[in-house]
Amino acid sequence: MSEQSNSNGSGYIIECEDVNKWFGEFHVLKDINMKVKEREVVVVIGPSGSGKSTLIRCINRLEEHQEGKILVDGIELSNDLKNINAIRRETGMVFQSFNLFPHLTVMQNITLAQRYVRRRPRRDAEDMARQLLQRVGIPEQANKYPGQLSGGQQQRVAIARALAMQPKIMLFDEPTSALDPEMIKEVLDVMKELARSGMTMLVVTHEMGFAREVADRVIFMDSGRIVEIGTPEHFFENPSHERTKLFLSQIL
Amino acid sequence: MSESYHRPDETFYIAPKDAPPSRRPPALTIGPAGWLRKNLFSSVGNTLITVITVAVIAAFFYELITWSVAKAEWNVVNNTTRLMMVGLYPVDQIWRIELIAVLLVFLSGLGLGVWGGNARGFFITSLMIIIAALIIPIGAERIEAPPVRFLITPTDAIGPMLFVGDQGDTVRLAVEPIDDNAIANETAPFVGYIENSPGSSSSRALWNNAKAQVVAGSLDLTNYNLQLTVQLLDANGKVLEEQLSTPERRRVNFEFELPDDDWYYVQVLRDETGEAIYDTVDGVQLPIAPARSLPNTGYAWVRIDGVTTMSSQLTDVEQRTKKYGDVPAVQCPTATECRRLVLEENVRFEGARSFKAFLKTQLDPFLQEIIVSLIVGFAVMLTAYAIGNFAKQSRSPDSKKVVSRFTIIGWVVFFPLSWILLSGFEDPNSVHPFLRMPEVAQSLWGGLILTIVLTFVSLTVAFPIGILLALGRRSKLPIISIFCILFIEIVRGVPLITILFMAKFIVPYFAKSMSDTELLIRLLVGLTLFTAAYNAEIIRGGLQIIPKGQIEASQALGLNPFSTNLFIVLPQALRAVIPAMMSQSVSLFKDTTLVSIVGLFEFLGMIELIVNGQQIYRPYQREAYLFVGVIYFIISYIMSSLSRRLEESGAGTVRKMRKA
Repeated sequence: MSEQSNSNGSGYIIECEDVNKWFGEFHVLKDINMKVKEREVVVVIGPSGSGKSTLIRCINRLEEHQEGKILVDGIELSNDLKNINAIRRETGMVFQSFNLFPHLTVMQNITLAQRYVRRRPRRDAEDMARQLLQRVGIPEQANKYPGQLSGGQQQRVAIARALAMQPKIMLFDEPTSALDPEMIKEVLDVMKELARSGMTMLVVTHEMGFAREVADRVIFMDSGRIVEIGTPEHFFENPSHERTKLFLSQIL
Repeated sequence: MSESYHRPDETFYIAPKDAPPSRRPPALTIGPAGWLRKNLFSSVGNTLITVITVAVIAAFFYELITWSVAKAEWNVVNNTTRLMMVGLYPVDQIWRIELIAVLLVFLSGLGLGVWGGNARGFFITSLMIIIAALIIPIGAERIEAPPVRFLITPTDAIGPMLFVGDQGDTVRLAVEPIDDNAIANETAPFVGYIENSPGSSSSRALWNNAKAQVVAGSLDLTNYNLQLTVQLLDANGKVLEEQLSTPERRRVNFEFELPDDDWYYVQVLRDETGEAIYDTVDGVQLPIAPARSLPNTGYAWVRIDGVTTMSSQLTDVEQRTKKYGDVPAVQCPTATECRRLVLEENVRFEGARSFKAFLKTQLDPFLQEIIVSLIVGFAVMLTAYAIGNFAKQSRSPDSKKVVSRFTIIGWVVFFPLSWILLSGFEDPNSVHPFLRMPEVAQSLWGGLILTIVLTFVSLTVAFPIGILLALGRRSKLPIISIFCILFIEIVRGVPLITILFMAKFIVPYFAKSMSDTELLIRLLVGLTLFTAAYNAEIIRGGLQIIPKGQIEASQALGLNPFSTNLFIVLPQALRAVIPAMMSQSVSLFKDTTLVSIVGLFEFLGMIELIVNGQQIYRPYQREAYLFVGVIYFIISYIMSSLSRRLEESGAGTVRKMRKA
């Protein structure tokens, strides 16, 4: 039963210990050690190909790690399907390319998993969906298809869809990278609101402004390893590692 | 000041505060005229292509339609409709097929009403009704017999020409003298049958010979001196009516109403004496034909109306003998003149028919045959449409839901129900008296209904099997994927006809228990596996285009693999492959013709049986195959239209998905 309790006394909801992963021969994650506390917002940044997306995809088993240990909410990720499903129920994920289901309406997108995973009655699921659409600011789009929405609206639907499962953790995999500049703000606003409400968030992004404003901690990755972990102030004002300095000098 | 900003060559420019109002596009670029200009006459080459294509198409259809109207003899279609449509299905059980057709039309109408029908929907349903009406001919009526013509020459007359007639039938005899050389140059002077019995002395051969002589100048048709006696006799040789045709009074035209169901014959005698003929009227001898010095010269047609041609089919001969007795032994004037019975295979339809005649003699009997079915079909469709539409328009949303659910359930139940209706029950007493339907052996199924059964049973069964095979082929478990790959590749690597032969000969040899299974079932299994293999590859193509992100998103939400496939992957994959699946379905529909090679007489097989097996229909292969083509086209068109409708309607269609 201890597995069911929060953060098994350590206070951490995500724990990675010596995680290694290879794509074929390519060593994509190298000895990753990282912990995320409950209600904490952690932003992962780094150049492309640094393994930051792979890292968060390992956390809900969209990718399988070969070595090390990942604990989510005290449950260890293994090949045990029961564990995987339990962890996926606790983690919501938002993708760079939204990945909304194009053949379902916004309402159906948000209610599908509630009904068939959470076994919620249809009426409750729809009430929940309407609340969430209100929260992300597009209550009027419920009966449209994703293809009829703008990118920003689609991403907000994707956030609502993930939230509908009432996860303890939200994983964001470059949620604004595929958006037109005009639409980035509306998505970031939703994410900021979410952060303020106390959601545990692990965010891969290139939005430095967001990281600076919202993050509790910033993780910088390069070539599959964690180069630096720190508060945003420390990270942006006074980075320690040479690689971090180089990276920041290129993007700022 | 501001005006200078409007000059296009300015390097710096600031637009006025208000955007200019939107204007209409130039007139010639929109509307039908714009469409024509853009699509058909955009360039010289395009114009050329348009003109040539339209001309070729128009010429083709002109020829086809004029031939169908003026020359074709649709007897073969009209008289064998039932055979072509339902094969040997017992006539007293055809109501079962009628019931299926009514259900089909009803469900279509209901669907149109509930889900909203556009014009094309109605058109498609109407086509379906026509096909349904064809399948259930109420009663075939024979086309009114065209006239039969025989040629009289200076050396050939008509010997006793036997036919059978019923009491009250009117037979008309006419002599049409040929005393104008111009006739010989006319290409299509006749409408009706011309005697064409094998041998050089048939009327057709004699007429061709005479024409050639006229053209060569060795024969002058104006030199006319034929004197004929035209007689209608009964079986005992008693003259019922006779008239004389003399050089002075050449045309003869008389009618006679037959007194009995019996054999009769027509005989034309030539008077070769040249002596005057007298008739006695009120005791006074009157010359009705003066003495002639010239010998018999000239040609004439003898035309007989109202005589039904006879078939020499054994069964027909038996029936005829039963009703009218044996062929009477009549004396022939000379041996050469005793060759003629009015036999169907000895006459050939010739000439150009007017459109009116086409309507009357060809289309009308056919319409009479199917008109009741047509009316019933449209009535049922409109009723169902009204119900569906009423439910759609009604205030309470529940009634729409009820009717639409009913329609879906109806379609689901329709196919098995049709199968039960078609086959009946082995032991009819075991069911409620109301449902008592004797079993109809599958060997009796045939014609178009068999084609439809083959197509739809194999399609519906192959669909889920195809999905399973496609998923299996992508499975991570090697045993399953290898099995699926083997199955798919083996079936796809073998021609369908081989599979059908296997179903017929090899399967019963290996599996003795299968030898008792009906041939139809074995062939259905073959067709189904064949279709499933092809469907599997099509569906696999659909599965491959589903982005990985869709599956990841579904997994991230915690949906298990089964739900992911059911709710996310398959709906998208299947919708994407509707066109390919439908083209596979249409080609299966056409491939069912192959079963005729292994011994089931579906539509085409039945037609072949008719035109090759029955002598009387042998001259009408063109008509029969044209009919087959039209029917296959209509059904294929219905199928592909339905697929287009499926693509365009429903949730999350490609159209809606792309509309961003």
